[in-house]
Amino acid sequence: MAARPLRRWGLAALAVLGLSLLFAALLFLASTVDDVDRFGETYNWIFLLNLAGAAILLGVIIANLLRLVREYRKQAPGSRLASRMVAIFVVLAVLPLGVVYYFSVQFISRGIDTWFDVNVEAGLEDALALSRATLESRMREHLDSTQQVADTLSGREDRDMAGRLEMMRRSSGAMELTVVGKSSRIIAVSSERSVTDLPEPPTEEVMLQIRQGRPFVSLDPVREGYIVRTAVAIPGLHPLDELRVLQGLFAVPERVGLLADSVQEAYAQYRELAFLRQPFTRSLMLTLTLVLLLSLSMAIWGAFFFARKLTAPIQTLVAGTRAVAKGDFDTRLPLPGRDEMGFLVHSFNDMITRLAEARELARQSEQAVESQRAYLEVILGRLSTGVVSLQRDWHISTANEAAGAILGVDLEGAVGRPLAEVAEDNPLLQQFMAVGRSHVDEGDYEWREQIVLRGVGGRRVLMCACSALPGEDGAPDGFVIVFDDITALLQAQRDAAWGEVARRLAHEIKNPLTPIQLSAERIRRRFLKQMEDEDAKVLERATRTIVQQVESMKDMVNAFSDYARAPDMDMTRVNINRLVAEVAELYRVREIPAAIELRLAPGGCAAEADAGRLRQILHNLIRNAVEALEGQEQPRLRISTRATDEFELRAVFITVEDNGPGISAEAMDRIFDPYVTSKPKGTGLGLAIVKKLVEEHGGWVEAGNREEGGVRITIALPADEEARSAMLRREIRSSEFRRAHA
Amino acid sequence: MLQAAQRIGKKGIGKKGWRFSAVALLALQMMLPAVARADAPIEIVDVSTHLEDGVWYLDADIDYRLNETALEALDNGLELDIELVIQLTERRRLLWDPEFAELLQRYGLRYHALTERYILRNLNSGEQVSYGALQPALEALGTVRRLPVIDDALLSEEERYDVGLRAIIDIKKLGGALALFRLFWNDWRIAGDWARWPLDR
Repeated sequence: MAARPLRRWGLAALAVLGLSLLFAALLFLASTVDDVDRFGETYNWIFLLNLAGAAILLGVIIANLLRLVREYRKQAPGSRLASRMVAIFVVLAVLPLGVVYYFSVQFISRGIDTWFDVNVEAGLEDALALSRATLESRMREHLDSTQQVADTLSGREDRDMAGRLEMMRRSSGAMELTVVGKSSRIIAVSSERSVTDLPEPPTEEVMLQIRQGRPFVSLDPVREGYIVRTAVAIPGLHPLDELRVLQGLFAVPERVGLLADSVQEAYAQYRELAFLRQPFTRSLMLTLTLVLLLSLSMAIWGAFFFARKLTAPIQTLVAGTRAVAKGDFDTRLPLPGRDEMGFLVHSFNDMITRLAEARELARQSEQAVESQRAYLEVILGRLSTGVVSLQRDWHISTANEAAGAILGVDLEGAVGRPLAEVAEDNPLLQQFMAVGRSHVDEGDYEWREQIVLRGVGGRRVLMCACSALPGEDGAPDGFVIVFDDITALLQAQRDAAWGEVARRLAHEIKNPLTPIQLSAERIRRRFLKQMEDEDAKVLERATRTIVQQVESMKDMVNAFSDYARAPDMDMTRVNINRLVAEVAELYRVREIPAAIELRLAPGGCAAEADAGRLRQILHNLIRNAVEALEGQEQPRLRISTRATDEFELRAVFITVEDNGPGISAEAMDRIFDPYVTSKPKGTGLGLAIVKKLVEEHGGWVEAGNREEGGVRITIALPADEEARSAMLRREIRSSEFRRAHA
Repeated sequence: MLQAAQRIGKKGIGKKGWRFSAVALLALQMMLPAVARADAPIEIVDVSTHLEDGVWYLDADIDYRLNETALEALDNGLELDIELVIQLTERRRLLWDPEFAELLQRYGLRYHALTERYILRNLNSGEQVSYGALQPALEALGTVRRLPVIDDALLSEEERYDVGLRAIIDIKKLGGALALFRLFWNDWRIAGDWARWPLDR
């Protein structure tokens, strides 16, 4: 992230550098244009500065353009706006600049053309020709006078020349007369100039023309003005005489010279201007073009700069919005300034602050709700009462563990599924659902009922209460059914009632039995011998019957007494296998008709239990089975033991199976109740006592018919104190454990 | 008189500036191959130096061939600036040769329309001579005789020196806006190649 601002600032710095270089070049140029020599020395630098500045600026613009194109293709936020702004800026800059440029070019080219007038040019040409004509007339005169002097000097000796020459110079008006001989040897000189000034010998040009036989005359511009230079050959007397040349220098009058200079300068300036017209025009246009390009470059770069400056807050806003959309409410955007954009960013920050606060509140609310939900879940989870909430379409919304344990199905894992689908393999749940549906179909959403469910494990009595969940349209949005398994409660109530009955029976019946028996025996002893044989027989039979029935009633009352009795438990570590083997051995010794088969748990099987009660349980079960097997062909009795530690509960199972006739469905529900028996000889208290003793240990007993025939009675006993405690308190794991082994 | 134009100094031009200028000029020459690379518009035909009375003199014959632009400018009254650059450098084996002394001899050549003569001025001395035609003027310009270069006493006995000569013709009547013009049209400046030879002592 830090690289981007660095690069941006780098580009800006480069652009400023480029502009500075271009300005420096222009200033440099402006400072040197008046000094030709200085310009000659520095024009390389100017060119380099121009080149470098333009290159840098162009590079920056290209970099900006490429970046903009890249961002545009990526559809980066703000890129479209930036592109539009750049385009508008450029158009706004190009149009006026183009117009100014066009008119400037027109003005320059036409303006410069107006400087040159045909009449002026012709006038200058004429002035020059006139000046020339005037001067040529003077030159011819001087040439004539020079020729006359030369004629006069013809045939004279060199030594006579000097004196004669002075006189001639004065008469001819010459400034200087010089006679030179072969190899430009000065023969004689007459000059009005100072003696320190050396005489000017004829130039090669002069001598060449003279040798060609032509007189020489020229108008020489000198520093002081003009002089007319004439040269003629001094006629010799003999063709073989040495060539002598007379050169005359005539001063042009100062006024004439000034006038001639004026004409010359005016003409020269005009020619110069005419000659420089095209380069001058080109230079101006070049300068103008450079300025235009510079202005354009500045405008384009400025367009990029300001577009970025304007879109930067928008990009920041977009980035901020995206961050907020991703859930980052800590984003705070930097304020770009105090303008409208700054106000917008400020509002955005304010909005984010409020959103963050709202979100925090929502989070806290959610947390509170979640906490409440968890709290409720814990409560529901710890409840032994089953709670199931159903949607209007009978899909399971929630269910606690107790609900599943009571109904023998995993309702917690079935949340979201239709109740009917979950109940497919569960008869208890099917019955439960049928009851619920019957109420709802009748429009009864608030109901309370005790229902009886019948399953493999016997009957279950549930106390149900249903409440409707209020919906938006008035119709119930669902139902909450709260139910409790009161089977055990009812059983306990029944047991308590039976206990009370037994206690009363034992107390009320047992007491008169002994006097009755004693009375019957006394009657028998006293009157039997005194009676006739016939009467004696009757008496004997009657008293024996009375004694037998009293004995029988005593047995019955004792059995009741045993049922009602609840002595203290003597818990010790009992080897179940050995105990079962011992009890079974007793029955083998008695040679009962059934064959007893033992399937004892390998590796031992022990539990903390009251050995006496366990022995009684086994006696009752075996006796019950033996009685059930009476009259059965090939009667068999199987006793098996098994140890387990599922659900972190150590338990012992003792199963007694026979191949007898089994128990009818009607009797199955009440098989553990007192006086419920299908056998002619049973008291009906055997299994009731078994159930009572097992439950005193914290375990449970279940009875069922075997598929192959016969009855299977299973006793589950906790193996240690922890398991016993958990089972007695009906902890969840014990419910699950029981459900798993139902 | 000519000595007045000489700029002689032991330190010469600043080395950094000279070096940087050289690099810049090299870069320029790479970018603008036309600069000073025309087909010998100025040819130094013969050049020599000789010692006379403790002063080193230069004799040179230079052939000036004006291009069309220069001829046209001359014909239209513009003055051509002719510059003879004479450099004296100390010879080095490994490093570049430092400039020891430089002498500039400047001339002006123009056409005088009124008199129809070409005027050659020595800008250092102010002397001027007129010629009826261009060729004699160029010949006179190209004939350099006994041009004093340096006093031998100023030279070190232990050093060896090289002499360089170069002639440049420039149309310098291009001030103001026209100055920019010279940046892009190089035929307004004709620069001859350097002629270098050792100063035989």
